[in-house]
Parts: sequence; C-alpha cells; structure tokens
Amino acid sequence: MKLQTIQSALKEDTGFAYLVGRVRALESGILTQKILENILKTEDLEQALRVVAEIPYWGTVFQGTFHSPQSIDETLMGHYWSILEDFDRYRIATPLTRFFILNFDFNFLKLAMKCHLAKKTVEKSYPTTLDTKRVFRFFAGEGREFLPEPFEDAIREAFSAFESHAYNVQVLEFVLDRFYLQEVYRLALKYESQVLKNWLLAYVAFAYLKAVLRARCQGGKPEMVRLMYTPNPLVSQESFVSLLGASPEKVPEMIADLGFSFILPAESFHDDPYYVAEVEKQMDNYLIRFARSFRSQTFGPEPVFGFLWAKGIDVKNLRILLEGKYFGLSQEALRDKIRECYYE
Amino acid sequence: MRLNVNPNRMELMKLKNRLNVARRGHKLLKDKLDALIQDFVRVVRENANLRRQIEKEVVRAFEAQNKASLMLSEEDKELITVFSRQRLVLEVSTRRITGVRVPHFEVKVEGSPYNYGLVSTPAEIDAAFGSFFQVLTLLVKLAEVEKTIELLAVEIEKTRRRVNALEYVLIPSLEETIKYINLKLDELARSAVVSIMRIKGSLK
Repeated sequence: MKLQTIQSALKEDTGFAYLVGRVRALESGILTQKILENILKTEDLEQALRVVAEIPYWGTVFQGTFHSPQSIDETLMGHYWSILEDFDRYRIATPLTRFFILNFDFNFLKLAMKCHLAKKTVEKSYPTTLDTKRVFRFFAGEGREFLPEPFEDAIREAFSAFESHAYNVQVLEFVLDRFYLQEVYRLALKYESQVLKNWLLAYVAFAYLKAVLRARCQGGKPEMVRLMYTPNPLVSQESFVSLLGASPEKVPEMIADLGFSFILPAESFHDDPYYVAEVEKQMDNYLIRFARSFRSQTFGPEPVFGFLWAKGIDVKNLRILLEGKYFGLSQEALRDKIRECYYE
Repeated sequence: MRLNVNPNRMELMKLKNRLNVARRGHKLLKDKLDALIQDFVRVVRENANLRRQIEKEVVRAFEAQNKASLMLSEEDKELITVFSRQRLVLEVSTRRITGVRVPHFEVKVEGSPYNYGLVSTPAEIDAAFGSFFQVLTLLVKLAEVEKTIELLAVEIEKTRRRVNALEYVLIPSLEETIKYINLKLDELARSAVVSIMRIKGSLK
C-alpha cells in the first residue's frame, strides 16, 4: 500500500514535471505589457495583426482569418479551447482544466436552454464538452438520456425556477450560475494546493460581489438574485443580500468589512455599469497578480493553472485590442479596458 | 370674376350675406392658419431638438455597444440576444392640436430587459442595453412628432388653400358681383326716373 502511494505520488510529480516543462516552453507566447503597448500603438487592425503574428505561438493563429469581430473571436476562442483540450488529455491536469472547461460548458448549457425555449437550434458550434444532440434530447425529456453531474440537476432546477418566477429568463441563468459557482467551490475544496484553493475562493467571492453590484444597477429583486447564491466562506448570504439593498454610501464600507476594499476604484461608489466594469477590471487584475506567484513554483499544478488563466486573460486582452482596432476606438478607451498581464 | 346671377335686390341681399359669412370665415381661417403655423413651428423645433438628442444618444449607445462587444465572445453575444421575454407594448391614442387630430404613442415595457446572467457577462452590456432602451423611447417620441408635423403640414396647406380661395377668389368675385348688381339697380332706378320725367313732360 505504501509502495503504491509512493508510486502514484512519483507518477503525479512526473506528470506535472512534463506539463510544467510544456508550460515553460509555451509561456514565451504569453503577452506582456510591452506587446500590448505595441498593439495599442498600431493604427488599424491590419497592423495590430502583424504585431500579434510576431509573438511566439501566435504566428499562424490568425492566418486566413477574416477581419471581422466574429472571425477574430472565433479564432481566439478556438486557439484557447485547443490549448485547454490539449492539457485536458493529461489525466493529471483534468482537475485543473475542469475549472476552465466548466465555464464553457455552463455557457453552452445556458445557450442551449434559451434556444430550446425559443424553439431554435444552436446553429454555430461553440467550445464545450457537452454533446449538443444529447443536451437537446434531454430537454425534450427522452427517458433514457442522461447528462453528467451537475448538469442534469442544474437543468431541472433552472426550468422549475423559470416556471415559478413568471417565466423570467434571467432566473435560468441565475440558477445555472449557482451550479457553476457551486462546482468551482467544490473544486476549490478538492485541490490540495492551498494557493490554488485560495485563488478559487477569491474567484467565487469576486463573482458574487460583481453579481450583486450589477444586480443593484439593474434593480434586481432580492428573491431572484438570491437564487444564484451558494454558501461560501468569503461572502455570507446575509452580506450578499444586505449588499443588494444597502444605500450607495454604505456599500464601500460593507465591501471593506468583507476584506475586499482593494476591488473598488479610487472614485466614490455609485450604481453605474461603468463603475462596476472598473470593479471587474480590478478583480481580474487582482486574480492575475495572485496567479503571478504560481510562476515561481518549480513543480506542481500551480504553474499549469497560472498559465491557463493567463492564456484566458490574453484572449480577453487580444479581443479588446483587435476588436477595438476594428471599431476604431481610441488608444485611451482601449487602455482603460485591458487587463494586467501574467508577466509584468 | 363676376358671378352669374340675376341683378335684383333679393340676390343683392343674398350676396351681401354670403360676403359677410365669407369675410368672417376668412378671418377665422386666417386665425386658424396663424395658430397652426405657431404650433407647427413649435413642433418642428421640438423635432429638431429630439433629433439632436437622438443623434447623441445613438452615438452613445453604439459606443456602449462597441465597448461591450470588446468584452463579449460570440457565444455570449448569442446568449444575450437569443431569447427575450420582454414585450414592448405601443399604446396609440390621439390628441388635438388646433383642431387637428394627431397621434400620441406611449411605450410600455412588460418584463425585464435584462435576459442574461450576471456572472459570465461584463457590466458594459448593462450600459449598452440601458442606452439602447433610452434610444428606443426617444425614437417612438420622434415618430409621434414627425407624424404630427406631417398632419399639421397637410392641415396648414388645406387651410392656406381655403384662405387663399376666400381671399383671392370668392370675396373679390362677391364684391364684384355686388358692385355690378348695385350699378345695375342704380341704372334701373335712373331709367325709371327718366321714364317718369318723360311721362310727366308729355302730360304737360
């Protein structure tokens, strides 16, 4: 038994050693602030794509892509998804990639549910591990069809909440968001690495804070917003609900009490989507700064996780810059939107 | 142009009455025309202001949409737009501006405009939705104002034609006919006097 444990530990170390080795090589393709500045300085999309083509591992990504937001996004998402699939092939990395793939799967599920309600089909193919036909067969109530956990329960609960809340579509997403965050929280509890656990808990807490601030702007009803809450140690249900109903003057104080005052921009708090967008940026920046410490780990899951998160942020930044160039937005407007990089 | 009437006192009385009515009608129509033009100018100014406001709002809405688009993947965009339970009810009623029936549109929103989750979408999309909703209500208001302008313009044209017809056709022709009848009656009176004088002379 002891020998088996040692063997499996050794196998895990070897697995991560190989993956970390791959990550070290691929990290040369991670964007830096300097590259982002170079893309920012370009005059149009054509020039920006030429700068991107010079980055290692990005050279061929945009070859043959039409210069439109749709194809830029498809290329970026395709690139990111192929990396995730590549890492997901290694059993040792599955718990890590699961966090990233969950987001895609839940997004696809939301889209499929909405299409089902609108009596439409999902025309394009989006990155997901779920089988479109099976999902639609499950919606249609085919007896023998099943979906992996937690999707089955999520779908059932989302449809029943949709019916009990006067067919409000937002309720569907709130329930699915709860299942998504619940799953992320479960993953956090499963991770052995304490830093990864903390990172995921911060992610869940930020998701709730962001949701509650946006619900305030939309005038969301507490009984509906509560549907997305899942118990977690950083944001209690009481704080979650009281944040929704608190006066704007009290919100910064309440967020500071939760220990997250650093996510608030310098200007005074107000219920405005652009203010919340700034809060979201601060959250993303905090998470990437947190993930930077993973780079210094020689072995283990942290560098792999950090790399995958950094790649996601790169995709976000490139979408902002390339689509921004396509729409002809100013450098300042784009600079306001881009997130910090994994490498300073 | 003189009217084709018999030059007698009865016709003269009738024509004088008609002239009176025509003059009063002309004055009333002229007052109505002035009021219509005043309202027309006011609505046109309102329209110009509204257009300026809409142009500004549309630019703002598209800027907000572009900013939101930067943060959204194609899947997110489809997710946000694929299914909506929101219904916009346009209530159409009419009101009167200087006697002209013009439409009045009112937009009522049933259901929430936000059909997406709060965790996986960016906050910029809320701003874009808010801006476009504002543009929608302004566009409905603009449609109302533009239709009002069209109806007022038609009414002004109709009234102006009536005023001109009275001023340049009916009243002058009535005046001319009255003048003609008066002359004819005077002539008849004079010839009667001459006949009497001649009869009187022959009797002497």
